Amino acid sequence: MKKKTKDFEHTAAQRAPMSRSVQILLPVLITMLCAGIAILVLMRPYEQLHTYLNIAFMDNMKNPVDENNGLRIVENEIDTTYEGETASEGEAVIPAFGEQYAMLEIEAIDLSVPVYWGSNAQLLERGAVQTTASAVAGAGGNAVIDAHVNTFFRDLNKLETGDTVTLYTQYGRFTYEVNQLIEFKETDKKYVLPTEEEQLTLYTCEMQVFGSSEIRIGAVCKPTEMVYYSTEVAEQ
Amino acid sequence: MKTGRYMIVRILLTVLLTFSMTGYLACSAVTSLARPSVCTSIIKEEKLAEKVYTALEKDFKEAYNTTAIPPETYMDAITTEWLEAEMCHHTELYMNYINGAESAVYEADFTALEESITAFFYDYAESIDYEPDDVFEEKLSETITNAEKKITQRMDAFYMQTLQANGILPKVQKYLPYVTGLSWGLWGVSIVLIGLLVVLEHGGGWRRIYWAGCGLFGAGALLTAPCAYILGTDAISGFAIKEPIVYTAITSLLEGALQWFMIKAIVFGAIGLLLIILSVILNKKQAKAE
Repeated sequence: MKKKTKDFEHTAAQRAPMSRSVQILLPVLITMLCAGIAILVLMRPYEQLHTYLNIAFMDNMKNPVDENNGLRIVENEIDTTYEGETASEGEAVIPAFGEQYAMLEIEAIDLSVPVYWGSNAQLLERGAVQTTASAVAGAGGNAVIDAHVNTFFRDLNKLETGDTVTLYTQYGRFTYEVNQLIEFKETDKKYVLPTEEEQLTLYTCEMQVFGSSEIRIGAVCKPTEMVYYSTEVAEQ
Repeated sequence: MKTGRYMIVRILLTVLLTFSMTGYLACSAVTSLARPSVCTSIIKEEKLAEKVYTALEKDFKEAYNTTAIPPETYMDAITTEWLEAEMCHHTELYMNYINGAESAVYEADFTALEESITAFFYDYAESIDYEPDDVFEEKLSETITNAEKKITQRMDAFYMQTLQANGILPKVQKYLPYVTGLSWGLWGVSIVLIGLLVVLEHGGGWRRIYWAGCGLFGAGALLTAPCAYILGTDAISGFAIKEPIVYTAITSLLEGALQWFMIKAIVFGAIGLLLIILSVILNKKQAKAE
């Protein structure tokens, strides 16, 4: 009899009805409780992962890059016939990466080519390039310019000592004379390292019958005339 | 007093059911992602082979400036159909490796490419009266190797070779069977918990399904919310590697996986909600009838 009563109590407790509002609210409350537990449990792993996630998905650009890989190439008009006021001293201007900052002219090999600041495949398609690790012309240092042997520097191997090389920039005209013809291995940085004195280093790959070469050829040029355009005119 | 105790037991079991269902859904998503067909369908749907063809055309055009080998020498030996077939084969090989295959050594059939480069070298040598020598053979071999390397690199849209080289794929291979096992384990736990909730609900009738509905609804809601947030904020588009082939492959994979995951979560949530509604309505009808 006693056992039966207990059974009855048990069933009654289980059968206790829930109001409709409780029935509706309960799933939401359970979900919120689970969400709270999940947040607490995952907080620490998330903190550890956060940095990696930020790196992997940090880019604000929401689309793949264009054909230039995001590079902004700027074509500038370089005045090679400037006849305004000039000075023997002045300030060189460091351009932005991808900006055309000079025209390189070498009459001896009939060369006239735009020079871009920065070095990559897109810029090398358009002209000669100057590595940003080198000094801009007129700033005092080694200005290192290179181009492909199959395009703009095809005849660079025809340069001779004493040939005149002119670099026209937006802030001045710099004339050099070929001082030394050079040949070095691709891995040899001797000629592209910074120098204290103003000089211009031109180089390209050695022309080979098959495939690319590890040898670089070129010339080291010493300045003969440094002409800076007067600031006001240059700004105009 | 007893009513409260039973209620707490049911709530605790429902919470456990919610987490076991959540875990099951997460694990099953991982195992589904490891199927080779997921990646190969992205290669086909997103026309990745065409992107690879364009990228290779650009690469070989750029290489022409230093090697003087016309891009047509390479590109005439490659078609988008061949690239697509090789990309699928390449991806399948690595996905099979993840799923337990012994090794993943990819070797494409580059016969046409090798013939094209060789023909160009010999024709050019003949045109300049160059007698092929050791240097010639060395340069020919080097050019073929470089071209094959470049093509294989471009075809690896999912970075499988890099992941393999960095030891990530072997780790995935090692842990994937555990995830599959865990997935089935959690499914079993969920079934047991649902059974327990049904048994504990002596109220009978439609009330038996109420707690299972709560668990399913909770799991569905718990997973739908973060998926909806990630997809809604377009966070995946911020993927840092902007190289078009890899970007398309990875973002498509992530978005597809999230969408699939979210749909499954919504279905679970909806089933849960349906069970709750049915329980409330039919239980009321039953009570009236009694």
